[in-house]
Amino acid sequence: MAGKIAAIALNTFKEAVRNRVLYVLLFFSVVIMLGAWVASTLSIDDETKIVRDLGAGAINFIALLIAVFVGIGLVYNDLDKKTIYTIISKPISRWHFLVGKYLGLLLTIAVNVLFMTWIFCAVLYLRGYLAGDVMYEALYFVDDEGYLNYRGVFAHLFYLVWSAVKALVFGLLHVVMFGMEGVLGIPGAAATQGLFMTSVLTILEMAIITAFAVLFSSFSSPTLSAFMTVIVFIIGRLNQELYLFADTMVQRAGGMEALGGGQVVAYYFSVVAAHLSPNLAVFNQRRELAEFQDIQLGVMDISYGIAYTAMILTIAAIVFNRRNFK
Amino acid sequence: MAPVIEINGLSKVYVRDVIGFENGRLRVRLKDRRTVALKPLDLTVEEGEIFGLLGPNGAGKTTAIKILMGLHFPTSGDARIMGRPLEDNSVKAKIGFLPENPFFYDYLKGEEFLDYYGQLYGMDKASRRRRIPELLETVGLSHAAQLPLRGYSKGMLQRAGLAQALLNDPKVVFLDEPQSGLDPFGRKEVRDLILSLREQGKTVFFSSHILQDAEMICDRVAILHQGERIAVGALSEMLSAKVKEYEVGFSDVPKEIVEKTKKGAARFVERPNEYLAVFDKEDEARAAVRAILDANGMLESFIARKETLEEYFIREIEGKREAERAALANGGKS
Ligand SMILES: Nc1ncnc2c1ncn2[C@@H]1O[C@H](COP(=O)(O)OP(=O)(O)OP(=O)(O)O)[C@@H](O)[C@H]1O
Ligand SMILES: [Mg+2]
Repeated sequence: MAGKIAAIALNTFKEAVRNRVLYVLLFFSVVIMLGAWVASTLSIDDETKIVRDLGAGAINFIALLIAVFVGIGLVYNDLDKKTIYTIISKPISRWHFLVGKYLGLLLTIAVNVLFMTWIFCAVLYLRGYLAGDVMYEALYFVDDEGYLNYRGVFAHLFYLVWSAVKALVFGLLHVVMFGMEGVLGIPGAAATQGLFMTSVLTILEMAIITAFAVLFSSFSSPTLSAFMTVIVFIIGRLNQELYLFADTMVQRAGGMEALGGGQVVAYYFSVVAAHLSPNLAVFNQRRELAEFQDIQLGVMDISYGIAYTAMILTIAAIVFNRRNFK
Repeated sequence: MAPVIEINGLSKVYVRDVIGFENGRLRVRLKDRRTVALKPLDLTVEEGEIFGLLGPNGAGKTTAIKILMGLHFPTSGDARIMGRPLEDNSVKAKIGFLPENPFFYDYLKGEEFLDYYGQLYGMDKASRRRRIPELLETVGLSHAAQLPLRGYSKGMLQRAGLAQALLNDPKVVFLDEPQSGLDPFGRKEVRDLILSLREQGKTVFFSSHILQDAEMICDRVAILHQGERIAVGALSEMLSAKVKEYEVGFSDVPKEIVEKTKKGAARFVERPNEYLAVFDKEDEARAAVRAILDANGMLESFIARKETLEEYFIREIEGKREAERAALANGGKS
């Protein structure tokens, strides 16, 4: 059974990797990261803060788009093109298919998030190496007579290429060392602090969102599924604000009894939505990232993510078990 | 011995959603939401049989097969394969299924595709390695093993579909229109393949509207029309019990013999010095042959023509349609 689910997951990953949409999204993420770099040079605030904030935001946003578009597309394709016929008639249960598909999508998202993290770390390192003072120190020297000398165009070019290579290597180290490459004493490593953890949080967040994408596409059209998945994401992100909103409303009115008709509806809507939706706020620590504070990932958060995902997938399996394939 | 496939009162009524997409447009539908695709169907298929499910377009063949494969749930009735319910994975391990107009992951190469499906059957690496080239050979796709399915023609896809249905060396094979999309050679190959499956002791359940092909290989058939089973049985019984014709072809005979034969024949076709007489009764035909030979004429052919499945089919279905029209007309009057 595990072998069959793994086979489905790996095939899903294969399918996703050959999906053109994925590359468009990845390209887009690189554009945002470079854009963040440019934007930071125009800012008067602490530059690194802005780059880190925008970059991590880009990774999160692109991961969401992958979960929504690639995720829904792959489930829908199987139903629409009827590949599902020959799969479901093999000795597997329907939920094996669903879970395999889900795990394949999650693998796709994880690999892509880590890939984007690598590229983003490389951008941060490169940004450090090309910073004015660092670069001038490498390219100019003061000779014996006290004159300032330029090392020449070739040295300049070499410096650029060498910086890029170093940035890519150190960026990769960040990912494979779980964000701990700083202990090697790599120059400029401080800029990437906390990024790996932020990406792990993004993957956990997308684990929940992808479960919803699979749930919705197990019974509705792709457009509607995409729409509903994005709504869940937004409500999940605003989860805490919804409670706050409901409370504030009651306080302002001076008690539940004083609420008007429309307000009562708004109150219950907010409270119910807040209760049902996943609390995604715990996975969003971009403020802490920007401030170079520690990113918190507790056992509770991980357990919460897994339990919530399992619940949604169970519902998806129940829905999927009952449907006729057109 | 218990039948391999038992179908008891299986029926399917499709009910369309009130709000749904039709031809890409959102539409609200309040009337005509129900389609009776299959009226309660009873069938049994014995081990080692080639069973043909025949009928015109929209007769309900695919619907029946989809229910058997657990892709659709029946509105009523149930079915068993090898004595067990359909959704049982131990049953699925022993069957093969080729859907109509199959589609597979087109980014996979032929071999990769079969390897993936082999894993779904739970085959280990060694048996996949052994089985896959063998099967590609059987369906005539050895040359395309390394080609992505995207580059396959319709007939090649159909062959790939056949290969995946046979991966697990199944006991029962379900084929929905296995010959669609194939050229005459391909159709013959599929016929031979089905016959060889029977030789290996497998049971084959297939649907088709290509009657000549079905006629050549089926042991028994069921005929569906508008979701209803209008006939079932061994082909030999179904056809030979029906009216036979005798065709007598001849030439080089005197005028009066031609006239005499023409008078006795049910139908008569005349070409310059070439005649074809069709008789309903055997003794009439024999008498005509005798007369021709006595007159030193040339007997070109003497054929006892059995009814083809196609003729049977058209007659039965025409009869149904006639009866419906009559019923409708009566209903209109009263
Ligand atoms: N998903 C569906 N929803 C509504 N009606 C359907 C659906 N699938 C099939 N039908 C209807 O059920 C009837 C039987 O269709 P089915 O596909 O079983 O016919 P068939 O015998 O396989 O025909 P063909 O030879 O064309 O493949 C048709 O009238 C068809 O319109
Ligand atoms: Mg059909």
